[in-house]
Amino acid sequence: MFKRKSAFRLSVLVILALTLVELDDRSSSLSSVRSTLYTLVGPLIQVAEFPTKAVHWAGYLLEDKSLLNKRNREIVQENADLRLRIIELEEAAQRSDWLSEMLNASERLGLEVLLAEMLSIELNPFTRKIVIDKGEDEGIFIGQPVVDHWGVIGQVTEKTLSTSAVTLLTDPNHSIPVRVRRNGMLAVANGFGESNLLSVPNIAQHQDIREGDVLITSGLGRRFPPDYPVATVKSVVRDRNAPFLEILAEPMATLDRGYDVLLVWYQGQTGIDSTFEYSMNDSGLR
Amino acid sequence: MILDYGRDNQFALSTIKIVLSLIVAIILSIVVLPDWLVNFRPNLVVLVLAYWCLMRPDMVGLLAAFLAGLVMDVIQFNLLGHHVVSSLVVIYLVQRYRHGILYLPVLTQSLIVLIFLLVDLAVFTMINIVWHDYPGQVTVWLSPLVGALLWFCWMGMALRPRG
Repeated sequence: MFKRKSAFRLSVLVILALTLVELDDRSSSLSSVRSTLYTLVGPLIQVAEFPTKAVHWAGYLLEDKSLLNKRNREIVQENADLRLRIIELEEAAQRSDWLSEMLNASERLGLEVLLAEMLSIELNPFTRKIVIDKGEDEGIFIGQPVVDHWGVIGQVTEKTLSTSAVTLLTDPNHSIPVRVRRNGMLAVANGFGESNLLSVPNIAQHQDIREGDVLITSGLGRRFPPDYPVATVKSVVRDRNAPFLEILAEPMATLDRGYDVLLVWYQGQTGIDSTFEYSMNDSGLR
Repeated sequence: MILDYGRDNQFALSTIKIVLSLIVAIILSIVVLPDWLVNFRPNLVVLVLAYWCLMRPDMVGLLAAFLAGLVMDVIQFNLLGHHVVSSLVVIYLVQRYRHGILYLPVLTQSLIVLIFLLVDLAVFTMINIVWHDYPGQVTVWLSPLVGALLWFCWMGMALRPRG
């Protein structure tokens, strides 16, 4: 008697759970449920963050003062150098704007960014995701690109009111359209679950790609802003018997915890949320 | 009257213990570990659920497994229900074979827990393959060993003769 009743309850609950999985995968109808539940478990996350934060803080306290001073000087120096470069670049940008106006080309993309902090928690090892401290309240949308100072990090795939999950380039389910900076050849870079590697599939044997080539976003798909660094090609294996080259690339960005990241808005961008398609028409391309 | 009061009291105490231990397990499942350790982290929530299902089958069963799994999915941004299915299956097995497991020597019990954790991981991996097309890294399959070891240490400590 117990067996049959219990097995019945198990099957009902398992079917319910599988329905949830499928529903969550297919549509965003469960996102409000997730948001509500997330606010309930919020305190747990703060507790879980504490040990990591304490370690960081202790490290900060114990750090040598002269070392801090040295780093500070380096940063001031770097800042001065960067300022100079910005002045040069602004000059160049103005000239290029003037030229493209003459050629009647599309406008340069206006970027807008928001700084977000990564939470010090770890998600399940089957995915490569990070959680950041900005959510729906700040206007974050699903599909929004996330970058750091060196390159693309990934894109927002889930959001709650005050946090969102960013799927990294290296996640086995992530792909990003790229272009080789040297010759403009188009490709796609896929994550495959390795912590700091991407694979670039479907490049034929005769195509021109070398070790050290820089891959930048192509802007196709309108998810990521164009011309932003993604990865450098680490190895190209030519096997005469295989139809394609075997290419591995290393992401430019630090896909590691404890760094700040930037959320990007730009003209002409499309997300998955229907609320963010306003810019489709005034993007210059259509 | 007094007896009833006592039973109520114990019920409340158990509830607090169960909820607290589950909360600790959930927190430990998301605390940042060094990179080389990440894949060895066992599913602590299932471990704690299984423990309480053995000790207090009247309080922890399929429903508790469902809720705890759901909380894990929310916190880890998985597809809602991903952890739920694997926890349900394991807790069903614990319920089904509870009387057989309960009075086994600690070592044998740990081996059975190892099997339960492997089942949990297998179900989790299967769902991941179906919905995310990714079987996960191989080293993840060592995490049940760590879980069984934890079980062995805990039960060995809890059942050690006192005095």
